[in-house]
Amino acid sequence: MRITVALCGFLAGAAAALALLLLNPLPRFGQHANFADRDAASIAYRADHSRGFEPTLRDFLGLPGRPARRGALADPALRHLRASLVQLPAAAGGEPGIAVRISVLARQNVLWRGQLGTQDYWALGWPRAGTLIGVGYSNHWFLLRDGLWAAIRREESGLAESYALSARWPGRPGPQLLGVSGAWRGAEAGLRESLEPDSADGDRWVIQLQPPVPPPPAP
Amino acid sequence: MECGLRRIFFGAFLAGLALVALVVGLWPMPEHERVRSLIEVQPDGGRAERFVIRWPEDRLELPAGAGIDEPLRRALAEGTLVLEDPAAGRISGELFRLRDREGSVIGVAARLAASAAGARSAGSEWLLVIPSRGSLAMTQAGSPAGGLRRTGTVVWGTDEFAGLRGRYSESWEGAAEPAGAGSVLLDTVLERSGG
Repeated sequence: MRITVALCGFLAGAAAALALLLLNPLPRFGQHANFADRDAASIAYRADHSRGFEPTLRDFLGLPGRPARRGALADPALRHLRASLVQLPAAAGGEPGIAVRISVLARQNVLWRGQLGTQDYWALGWPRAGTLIGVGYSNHWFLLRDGLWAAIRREESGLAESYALSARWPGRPGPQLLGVSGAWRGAEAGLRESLEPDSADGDRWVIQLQPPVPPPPAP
Repeated sequence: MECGLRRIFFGAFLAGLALVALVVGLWPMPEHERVRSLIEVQPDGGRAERFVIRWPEDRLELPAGAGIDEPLRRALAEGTLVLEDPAAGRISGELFRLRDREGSVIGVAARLAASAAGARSAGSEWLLVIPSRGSLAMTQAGSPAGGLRRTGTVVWGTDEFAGLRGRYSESWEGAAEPAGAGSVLLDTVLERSGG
């Protein structure tokens, strides 16, 4: 009888601690709100051309059971890296462009603070508008948490329509982009990213650029 | 008896709470594998470092996804994406593995090259990401197409490279023909920026 009561008490305590962790309010303070639509250009893309680590709980926490990496990203130094080439539809600058996104597991991740994220290195380019390069931090905490809840409750779809991922870089300002060529040269820009999981055509990523158009070329 | 069971329950409750808190607080998060940095300190206090990309083996093959046409699928297999518009111009993006001068893989390099329609030359930017150390962004103004050695500026760095600026040169070592094997050499010389 005592053992049963002790076991029930222990499991209740563990469940309470897990619930406190999942309801952790700290991550909310670090999330960036999206830019107002009037101040930014929104560019939606699908991350089909990506490879590397997957933004899942297993990869973020280093849990066993991850499939062995093969090919170009099999090297130990690239174990926690994901690389993407993205086609940008015409939005900022009024012309289509290309973006390269390299995400690495953030060294600042702390589980009890609800920080499970990636440092995202961006290079965005347009033929006439030029190139932006920058870095930001994406916190996947809420997406992973909701996915875990859905899995526990055995729901097929327990995710929200959209998740704002951009967050304050723990200990650093950001995100920030620097214009390095063309009309963007010398200018600064902000970037916000969100994910719309399971949209009609699969996961859809949306980035917002502020300002929405490149500055005029220097005289 | 009841009082005793209640005490047992609350004691076990606190133990469960404490154990989970301990596990969460001490969970070892994954770390990036670090390769020893091969930096040469210059007489003037700057630091020189060579990065290498082996061609073609270091190209990153990317998945094409469904409904992708064959030319794009082939390009992605070589880690390249190209957009070409007669009115706007041309832009290409490429991804490679990045090595140190001894050939150890340390990160990933991305190259964007853009030229506006009618422009005589193309500028390009390099973004080097070394997960255990940080990143470098480098840019070069338009240079004559086909040049085997180009120079440019290191404009930005993060983490270990934060606050460092300098210059770099890009050169080719290897077969003379365009499709031959060889290495792209990125030689950087960095200094702490003033102010």
